[in-house]
Amino acid sequence: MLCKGDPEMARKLPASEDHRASPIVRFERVTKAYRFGQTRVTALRGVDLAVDRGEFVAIWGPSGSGKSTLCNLAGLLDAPTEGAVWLNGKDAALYSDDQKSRLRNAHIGFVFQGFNLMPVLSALENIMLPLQIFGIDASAARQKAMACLAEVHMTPYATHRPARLSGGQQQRVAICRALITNPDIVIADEPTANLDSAAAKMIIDLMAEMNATRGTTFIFSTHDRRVIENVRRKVLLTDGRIEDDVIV
Amino acid sequence: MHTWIKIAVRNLTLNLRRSVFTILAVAVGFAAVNVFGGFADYIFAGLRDGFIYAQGEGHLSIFKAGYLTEGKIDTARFLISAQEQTRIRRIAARHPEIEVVTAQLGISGLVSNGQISTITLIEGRSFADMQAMRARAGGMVGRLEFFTGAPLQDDVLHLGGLSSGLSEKIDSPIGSDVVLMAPTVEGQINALDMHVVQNFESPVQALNDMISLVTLDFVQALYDTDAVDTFSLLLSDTARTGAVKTALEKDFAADGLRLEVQTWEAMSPLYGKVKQMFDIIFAVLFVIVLAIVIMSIINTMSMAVMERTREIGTLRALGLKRTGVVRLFAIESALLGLLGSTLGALITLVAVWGIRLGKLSWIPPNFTTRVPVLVNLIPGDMLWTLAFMVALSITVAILPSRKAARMNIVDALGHA
Ligand SMILES: Nc1ncnc2c1ncn2[C@@H]1O[C@H](COP(=O)(O)OP(=O)(O)OP(=O)(O)O)[C@@H](O)[C@H]1O
Ligand SMILES: [Mg+2]
Repeated sequence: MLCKGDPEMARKLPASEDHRASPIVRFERVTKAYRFGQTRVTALRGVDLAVDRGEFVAIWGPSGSGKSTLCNLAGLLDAPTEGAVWLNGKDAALYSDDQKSRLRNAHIGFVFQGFNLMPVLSALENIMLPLQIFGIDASAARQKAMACLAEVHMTPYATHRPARLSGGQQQRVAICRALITNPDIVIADEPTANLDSAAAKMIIDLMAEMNATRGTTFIFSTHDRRVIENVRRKVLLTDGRIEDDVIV
Repeated sequence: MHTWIKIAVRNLTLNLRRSVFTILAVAVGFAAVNVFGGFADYIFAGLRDGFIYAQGEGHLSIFKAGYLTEGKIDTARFLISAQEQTRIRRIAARHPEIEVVTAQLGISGLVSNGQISTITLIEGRSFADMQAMRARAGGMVGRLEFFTGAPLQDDVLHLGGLSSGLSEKIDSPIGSDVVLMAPTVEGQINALDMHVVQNFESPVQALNDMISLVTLDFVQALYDTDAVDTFSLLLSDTARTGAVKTALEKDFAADGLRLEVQTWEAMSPLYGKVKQMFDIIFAVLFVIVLAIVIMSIINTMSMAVMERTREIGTLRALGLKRTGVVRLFAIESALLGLLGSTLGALITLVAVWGIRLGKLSWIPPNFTTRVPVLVNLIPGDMLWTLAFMVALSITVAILPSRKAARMNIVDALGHA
């Protein structure tokens, strides 16, 4: 099993009492509008969505349909204009910025389209980073990060800086980084958009494997229909509305 | 903490050229402030030691209350009698930090070469005491002789010196004889012969064509008195000047003596003025250095923040708090300040040694001999400068990084 849960991370946050029963993420009539000078762009229009623990959800739809906006809101990177985003049974609007930082650190993992690894850190150090932000000492963090690297077959590249890794390799490091804190949920906005189809398939397969073996919840967005053929739950976004939400 | 230092160091090496230029700016600023400060310190020490030791004025001067303002016109009213002199010496003896006690008497009169005569201030000193003061000087400036010609001796009454301007004015160079004339305390005219054996520069340039220097006994004989007008005290430690002044004032008052005690700082005509001038120059230099250092660090740090906005967004997504972002850039900036200051300290050392090896010399105002130009190394000041530079670097980094840390995370992530 990848990055086994440890007591340190277990007492990481005061989540609400009944969070095991409620969905991990719930959108309640969420509207998000961006103001761009004089014009107002509405990216999400009254979205209702609930993602349960252990789900593997693909958000798909055409460009500009609001996929990134949805991912950002689910990851507490941004706040809705109207409506509410609930995380573990609690309205995210009630958290302070520091509390949201703490929540993201301990409970949410992120995988980005552009990998977003720190260029000055090695693959290993990049994976260690969320643990070190949490405050875990370097030797413990290194051990866990090494185990992760082994899991994604990247051990030989531990000391390589991102610039010396291929896109697929970087994204595997990024997945390790997202999973290292044993989060409840991983948000991946277009994780395969910068990859060729082989690497893209491998990344989706890797995420699915982590979902299956560890029960980590995944929400990922894509506009590539091919990568979601085998995904159980597919949410189709068009023009800021959920047009279709199928569970196979 | 270690991780953040590591990230900061690596980012600094990644932008090596920019980092090096910033470090150089800090280093040059650091060195400029400390070399100039060290030079000023050397000059102040020279003026101080010159006044206290070489001119034999000591750390403290004692005279009758009011002497400083009216005494030069009406000396007789401010004389310290033989009996009072004994009391003063007895009180001074109670203070172990007083090492030399010497009396002076100055009167005004006429000096004549047989054909022409002119007004002169006749200063009577004990040359043994002055020699004792000079011997206690720490720095080389304090041991300098300020005259050309032969030294004066207490037991050869008729030998004396003229300030160079006076010597010229009455055409009486070293080796000639003059007559000093003055009224006695009683008001009768008295005259004594003097053999000119030395010339000197007056500490006050305006008086350089007026001063005759003789033994105390000579002036007392001319003035027909055993009184003096001033006592000069040399202390073992300059830092004790204020404390001893206060103690003496108390003791004199308790003994019924109406005396005034002044410190060398108040008495030295040059020290205060030069210090004021140097302080102004230093302030100007400091402002310039400050501006350069602040601008280069602001420039470097705002560029770093701008270039790494997406990275800041990523770190925030990973859970780094706003303060964590600020800390990251503060560390980076502090390192620039620290490295710059360290290099600056090295440059200062090299400059100080270079100036020492270069054996530069000059003739300061009122000196007759060349003295070396040196720069004092002041470790305490250098530590302060270092602390200041680091604090400044941190403060300057906070502005741009705080702004970036408060940015909307999605916007930061979307930053090219
Ligand atoms: N910061 C912003 N300012 C203004 N408008 C924005 C901003 N971010 C997104 N939008 C607009 O909101 C709408 C939804 O954008 P979003 O990025 O969520 O779509 P998407 O489905 O992720 O598209 P893509 O497939 O191209 O990534 C678009 O019309 C977009 O132009
Ligand atoms: Mg998008």
